[in-house]
Amino acid sequence: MTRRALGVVLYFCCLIATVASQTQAAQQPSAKTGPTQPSANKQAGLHLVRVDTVDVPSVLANSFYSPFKCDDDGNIYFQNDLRSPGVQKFSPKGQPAALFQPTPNAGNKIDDAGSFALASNGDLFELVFPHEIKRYVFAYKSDGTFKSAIKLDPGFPWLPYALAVFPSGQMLISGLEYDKDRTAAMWPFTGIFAADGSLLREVKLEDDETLHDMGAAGDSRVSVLGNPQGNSAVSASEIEMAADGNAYLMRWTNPAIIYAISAGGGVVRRLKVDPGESSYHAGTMHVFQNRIAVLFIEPNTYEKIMKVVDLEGHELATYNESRAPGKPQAFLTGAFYCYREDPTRFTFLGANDDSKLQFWTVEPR
Amino acid sequence: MTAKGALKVMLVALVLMLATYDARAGCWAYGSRMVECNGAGGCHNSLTLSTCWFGCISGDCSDSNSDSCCGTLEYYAQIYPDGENGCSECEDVRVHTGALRSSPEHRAELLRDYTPGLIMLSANVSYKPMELAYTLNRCSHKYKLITDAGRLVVTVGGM
Repeated sequence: MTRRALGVVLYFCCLIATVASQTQAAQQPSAKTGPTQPSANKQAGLHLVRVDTVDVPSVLANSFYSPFKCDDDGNIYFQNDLRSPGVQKFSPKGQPAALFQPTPNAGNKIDDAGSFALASNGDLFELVFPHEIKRYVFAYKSDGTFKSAIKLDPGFPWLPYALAVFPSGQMLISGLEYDKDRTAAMWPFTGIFAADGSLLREVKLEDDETLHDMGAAGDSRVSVLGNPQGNSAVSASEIEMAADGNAYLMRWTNPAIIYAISAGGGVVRRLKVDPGESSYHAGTMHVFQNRIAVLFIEPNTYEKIMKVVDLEGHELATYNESRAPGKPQAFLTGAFYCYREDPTRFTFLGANDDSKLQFWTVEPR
Repeated sequence: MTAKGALKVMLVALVLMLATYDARAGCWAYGSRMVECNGAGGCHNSLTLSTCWFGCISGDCSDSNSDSCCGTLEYYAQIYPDGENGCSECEDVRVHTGALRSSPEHRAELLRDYTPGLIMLSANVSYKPMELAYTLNRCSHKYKLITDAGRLVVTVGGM
């Protein structure tokens, strides 16, 4: 009996030692996969440098809630107060231009307002959550005037998180829907909706099952603080229209996965934008004509990598922003709201020492 | 009841009321919002916050939990399910079948070299650690140790 017990102990010791050595080996970067190496452009040392600052002293800049967007005229759109939902529009010079508020236009109490999208004619479309199971898109004119409330009707309860509006008025909306066990991890759902809110077509995306599995397993890369059903890869998705007429939907993953989706609901292609650093997470994506800029952020140091790709995912440029010597964090915020070319410029929401809003324009140097 | 006793009862009632004033009974979902924070000393941070939305879990929802983000308190939600199945608006929940299968290469791109609960040894071989669990024998009132021995898991076609 004693000999048998000794044998069991020895067996477990061997097993633990074997697994430990295999685990260590697995954690060592292999020659094949290698550590995540910085790209050639990044090594070339193109950094993001602030070249312009616009002060907006009337606005406190403690918190911003994504998304952050700009229009063709350079106007800036953002939300900074969850308790009083509304999108604020400012001119590039920092002048208030419009306020898009769902509360006065809703028949029911508003739980929250979510993401928003700008249509090609300047109208703003905002996801709105009145205190009922139906979800809505509120449409506003560019001056903030309320136009209509569109009741979304996919035929099942869900939580929409990101939207884009095609020139035809059809909407691409992505979000999460319930599992049959309503307390279990939710499932990604994406659909094309008519201008009246009816579901025209479900868009099946290849990685949705993987993202669901990660959420169900409690994977920290997609799980949400205090939200066992949530999935930040989906809830932090972003969608923007590009010059080719397709909508580009980015999942909040590393590497960032972007799908080009046509107005008919076809998945035209799948792009992968890899920051080359596994510790970074995807931040914000913006499209300018036929280019996509994706900001990746290192969550501890807040250092950033900006990747620019074409609409087929070919890498065009990589810029980085590192900490200055002696500084605990990099200076740029994560509130990236605008991307332009000729010259290449990225603009961010920032704050001065008095926590008042500033618009920061940065260029690669 | 004396005046002192009545005062005590009122105080207890007030404390109970204050402790639960933000919890709302009904049908709830967790909404998610990304927040970017700025603060003193050039502090920047970001959080994914949960908020109380109307949804399909019966119970109370409170958004009184907080987390500091560059010195600013950001509040996030907590649903307290009551175990009831009373959200009649949610009977149309779909059964999920026939999801589009991800290619092994694309699945590996997202999972990288890490799968929760598994120790990845190579692209398609992982080690599932031994699991221990106690079960209560209600007749003998004794606990029995159940072990699920560790084993290698080989995934066909990679992760």
